Amino acid sequence: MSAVVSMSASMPPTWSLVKEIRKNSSEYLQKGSHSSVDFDAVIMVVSELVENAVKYGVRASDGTCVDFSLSVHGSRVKITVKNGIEKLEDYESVIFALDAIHGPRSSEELYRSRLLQIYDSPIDEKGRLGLYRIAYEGGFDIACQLESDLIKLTAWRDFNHEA
Amino acid sequence: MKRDLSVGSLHIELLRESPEQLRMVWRGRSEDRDPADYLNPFLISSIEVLSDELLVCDFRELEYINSSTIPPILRMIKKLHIDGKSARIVYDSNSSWQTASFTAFRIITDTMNLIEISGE
Repeated sequence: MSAVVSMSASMPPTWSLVKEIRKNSSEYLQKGSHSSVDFDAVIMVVSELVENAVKYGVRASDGTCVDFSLSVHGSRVKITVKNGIEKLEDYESVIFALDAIHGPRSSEELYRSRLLQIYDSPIDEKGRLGLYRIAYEGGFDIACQLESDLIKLTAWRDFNHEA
Repeated sequence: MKRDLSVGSLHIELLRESPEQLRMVWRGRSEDRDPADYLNPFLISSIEVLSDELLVCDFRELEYINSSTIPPILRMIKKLHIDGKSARIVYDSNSSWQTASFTAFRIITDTMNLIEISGE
């Protein structure tokens, strides 16, 4: 199974794009023989990345609003989401979270720490929880690149062969 | 008291099981952009009518939540704690996402005497 699901939106996306991408991704994955654990994890990561792109992204100078792809090559699943950003701080905020994920603290510790922050300061509810969830619950690695005013997030993981 | 909430794919039902116990059953999927807009008022109002009952928050039939759903759940836990209410949060221990999500909440509830989280 080495096909790809890809979708691109050049109009400012509505929330229904998240459901559409999730549906297409589910249909694609169901053609393979993945465990329900792997399936749930992939769909969660797809949802979180696309939701962030729809919520916080803007149209980039090349016309891209949200660009999505999901591919499986052998046992490796890779999800890529691109969206335009308005200011450099948006990219730096993502890099801050990824530096933490790749740092000495475990993803579980980061996730729990973020839960505590949200519990203590409800005003600070937005941001970073989705990325920490992708790392902790999904077990995915994440990388980020800036291409002009386009941010590209890539998440990948190997499928588990035991259910 | 509003007894249930249905928004999109998410359904929450509040059932009185006995004079001592209320069960709040979550079903379906919570995947909206801003679920706090309706979850916060519903959950807060549901807690405010509790007296001495145990509130069982039953998430076992919930298929999925996005990360935007988590802050309202944390706010519910905070309200329960501040108001001195007894609650048991039940998740499906056979579900990997539920186990990961709800065991992580123990970072908050482990210091609370009246609120526990258990997998069933």
